[in-house]
Amino acid sequence: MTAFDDGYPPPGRARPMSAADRRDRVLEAGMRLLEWPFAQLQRLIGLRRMPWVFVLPNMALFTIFVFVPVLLAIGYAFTGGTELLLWNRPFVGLENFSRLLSCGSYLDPASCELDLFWTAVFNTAWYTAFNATGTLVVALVTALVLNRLTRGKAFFRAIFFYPVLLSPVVVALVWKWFLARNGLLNAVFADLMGQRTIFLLEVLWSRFWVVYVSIWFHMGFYTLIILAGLQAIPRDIYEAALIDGTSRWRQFWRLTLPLLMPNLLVVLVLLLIRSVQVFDEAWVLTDGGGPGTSNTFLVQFIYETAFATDVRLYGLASAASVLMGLALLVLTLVQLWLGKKAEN
Amino acid sequence: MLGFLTRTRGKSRMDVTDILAWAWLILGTLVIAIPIGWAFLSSFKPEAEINSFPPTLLPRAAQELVIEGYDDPLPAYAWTDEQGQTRTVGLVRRIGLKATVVDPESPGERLSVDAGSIVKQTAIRPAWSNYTEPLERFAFLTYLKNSVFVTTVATILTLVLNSMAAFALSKYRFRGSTTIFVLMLSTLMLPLSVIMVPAFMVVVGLNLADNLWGVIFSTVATPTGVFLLRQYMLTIPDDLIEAARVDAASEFRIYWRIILPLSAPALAVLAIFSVIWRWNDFLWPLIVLSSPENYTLQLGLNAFQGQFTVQWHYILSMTVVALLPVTLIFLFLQRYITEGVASSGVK
Amino acid sequence: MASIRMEGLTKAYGNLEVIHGIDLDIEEGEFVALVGPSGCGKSTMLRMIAGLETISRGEIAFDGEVVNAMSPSERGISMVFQSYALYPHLSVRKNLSFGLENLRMKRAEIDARVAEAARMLELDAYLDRKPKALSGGQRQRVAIGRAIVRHPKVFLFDEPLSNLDAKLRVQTRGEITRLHRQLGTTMIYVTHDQVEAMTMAAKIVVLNGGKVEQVGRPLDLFERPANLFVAGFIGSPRMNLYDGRITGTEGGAARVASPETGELLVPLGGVAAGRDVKIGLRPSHFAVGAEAAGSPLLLEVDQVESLGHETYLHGRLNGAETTTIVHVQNHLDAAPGDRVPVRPRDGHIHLFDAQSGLSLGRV
Ligand SMILES: Nc1ncnc2c1ncn2[C@@H]1O[C@H](COP(=O)(O)OP(=O)(O)OP(=O)(O)O)[C@@H](O)[C@H]1O
Ligand SMILES: [Mg+2]
Repeated sequence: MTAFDDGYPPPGRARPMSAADRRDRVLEAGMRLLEWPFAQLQRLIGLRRMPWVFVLPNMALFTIFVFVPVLLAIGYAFTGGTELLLWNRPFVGLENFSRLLSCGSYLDPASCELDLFWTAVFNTAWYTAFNATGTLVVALVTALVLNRLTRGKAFFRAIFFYPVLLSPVVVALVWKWFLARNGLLNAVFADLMGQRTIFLLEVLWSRFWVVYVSIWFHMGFYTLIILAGLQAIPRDIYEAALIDGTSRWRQFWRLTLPLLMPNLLVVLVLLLIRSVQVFDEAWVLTDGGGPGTSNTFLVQFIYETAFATDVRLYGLASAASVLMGLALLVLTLVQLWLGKKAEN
Repeated sequence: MLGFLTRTRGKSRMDVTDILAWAWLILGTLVIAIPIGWAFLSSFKPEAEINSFPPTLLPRAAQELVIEGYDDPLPAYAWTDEQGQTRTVGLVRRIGLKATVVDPESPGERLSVDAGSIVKQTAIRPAWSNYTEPLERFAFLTYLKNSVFVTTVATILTLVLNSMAAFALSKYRFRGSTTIFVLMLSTLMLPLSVIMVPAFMVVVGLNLADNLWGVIFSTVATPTGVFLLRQYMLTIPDDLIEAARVDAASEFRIYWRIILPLSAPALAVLAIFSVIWRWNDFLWPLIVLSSPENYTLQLGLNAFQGQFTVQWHYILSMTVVALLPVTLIFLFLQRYITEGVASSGVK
Repeated sequence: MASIRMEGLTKAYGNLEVIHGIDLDIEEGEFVALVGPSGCGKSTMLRMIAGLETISRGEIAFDGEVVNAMSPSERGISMVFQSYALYPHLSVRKNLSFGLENLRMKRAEIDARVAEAARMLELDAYLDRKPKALSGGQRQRVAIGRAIVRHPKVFLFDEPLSNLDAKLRVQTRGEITRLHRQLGTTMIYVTHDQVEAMTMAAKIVVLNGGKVEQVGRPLDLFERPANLFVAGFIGSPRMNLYDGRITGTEGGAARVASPETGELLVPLGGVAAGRDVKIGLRPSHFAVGAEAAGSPLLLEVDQVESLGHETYLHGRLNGAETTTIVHVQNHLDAAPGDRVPVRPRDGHIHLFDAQSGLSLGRV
């Protein structure tokens, strides 16, 4: 055969055992150890059944910790008492649901048997409305701004995304300190307002800050998704518009927004789904839903009913979970439907 | 800088929208950076200073002087004498309007001066004790260990179990594979809050309540991870696997020597996410773990800040500790993360 | 080295049967080519021999031992894939040694075998490179090297040259043939390129629609195709085929007629008048021009392809519709519109039964 003279660097000649070879040998030995049980199994059951061996560990844990609970979830909602084990619990039919839903007037939580539940429902509703719209607007504007950058895009994208990675507890504490009586915000604005405000102890302020912190926390994630949508819009459409002399403003309303709409709808529903489940950062920020119950949300109601009281009402909590799950299911179906539509 | 600012969109001049865009970016950056930066700076302030109002920007602490003949260092003061000259002296004691000070130049001689003529001296000095004391005196070292343990073990298990499942679901056609995949996908959207109670029952039933393994086992079989890895593995040509079979490799060896190395980029993304998820987890550990010695850092922090006397200097330092790993990961692996999120939509 | 016997070999995907009971014997050390149009089941058959595909019915035996239940490695085969399937994350050296390590071979033995294969294929210079840093031809040789090091009883190739450019393909063809001579191993070579099959193999198996159409030496297939399919498939340009009929018999001879050829008297017995047949004439089996002076057959030329040392005439015979290709050694002066006299060479007329497609003989 001909030698290939192809400009690559000259070859390494046959060598004595190198450090890399030695490392390879150790790795190989380690792998043999792991391989052994699998190889025995393969000999026993044959190659065709090996995929089962590979999915089994994951499937087992998945079944135990996700699947079984999903199946049991319904069961709890129809049982009463304070026993944890499902089979020790008496069947009570629809009692949990009727308790949750019995109200003098649905518009007035105080008239309900479980006024805390309805307070939580209303709080969750306004939180969801403000949080979803607020986040969507902020994320959309940020994505639009980032999309026009030619330089520094990665940098700013990273800055805006960073809070998403923080833990809810960290976010809550950072803001709690910022808003504290001795905090920076008071230091800057106390003179202006004549006095120091304890923001998180006033109903309106606390609600405002819960939504604000939540937007601050999560907007980077949605920005990234919208940005991906923007980048999928072909450039030549804009070039055509430029040649037509379309103004920037018109470009946005007539081109960008309609083209982005499917993407935005998906983001909106995702936002709704996540907003309904608000708990962690709001709970820590407001010391458990305060002041009073002004920031008590659904998940907090479920958590506290099931785990944070002396009388653990698992049935009631599960009934509330089921109701919330139904709402989420509807939203999820809407989202899947929108996603399908967006693909076409 | 101006050149950089005006270079947007390749135009020669900035128009109104450019200015608004930059205003938005700068404002946004400040809104994000200031609270975190403020918490970070505050975490180095000593207890006395953290509670003072109006706050100072940088951590300051009283200066001290070591003077011959005195066992303990003396607080440093600036003393302006009758001639109008200012000297640094150490305060021995103060009684009413009189203060006893000593000049470090002549340590043997005590001076009695007006309390009004001396001013306390401070210097920028981070209070490292904010960081050491919670770890030594409170249980934060335990929380930290628990968090590291949960995060490491759960991430390793996630990578191993998810990649094995993804291998089976992407490289074999076997009865039930589609069913399994669809079942997993359908729970991708299922929130924990809906199955809180029965999931807890399962944990109790397995005798894993108030046990770190209860947190670990219930989180490792993530559908997201399986999905992400499967999609990646689908791009590995099947020929490689058949070639390896001809090369007498067992199925495990194919997984370990061919599939895993070739899936490294996807594994890296999953590893990053898994670390962040497990490090930040809150609600589920809150339900499963009940005794303080089992708390993770997030739970410990939450419990600590909920106590009657709020010790912000400790809380903030531990907040910084809790935020540090994620921040470091982000600094070094930022590209993987943002691209991973943008392409797969996971968070 | 091994002989291979296949009996009633069948492959079905669910209800869809793609290989329909193949019987085939391959001798020890033989170089066999499997050819056929795309989708005819060549790869499937090869993969069944390799053990990568289960066998639905029938059996495969190596040296008389049934291997149906054996894994690829137990069968002692190696395979070169069309895509080469080199492990992209491993160096060439590791690619070559991977299979040997799996067999738990001694390190010294592995090194020796890798060195031997590298020398044979002139890969020494590239041993520490990753496949990505190799040219297509080099990758190809690594793929072959990976097959060699295992000292297999049977080599399987699945269209190994289809990713190479024309020049490299010719060169590698020669190299594989040389390798076969040198190693003497049984080789089964899948290709849809009949030139590869004709030049390399000692035996060609023509597959079509999951069935064997004919097995034989390359020249046999060319000269005595067993049926219409093989006649059309082997040979380039393909054989001219005309619809004809036996118009009468005279002792040991028969009259065959078609619009294109007119009436021909051929020495063929045992056929009845009135039978529908196909008449096959290879392009190279015509006497043309001066050689055919006086022939009543005229080719109306539509197109002339002149390659200098040979010429192809495309045209219509006797004014019929079907296009006929005629091959002429050397240069021939002809232009579109010309009418050139041609005559089928005696002994090179193929006749097939129109219904079954089976050969009635070459006359
Ligand atoms: N997994 C499968 N399921 C169903 N049918 C299949 C499968 N694999 C192959 N086939 C069918 O089997 C037939 C033979 O395929 P095969 O790959 O053997 O063809 P081939 O002769 O190698 O063709 P080519 O020259 O294009 O490579 C084809 O019709 C193909 O559609
Ligand atoms: Mg093929």
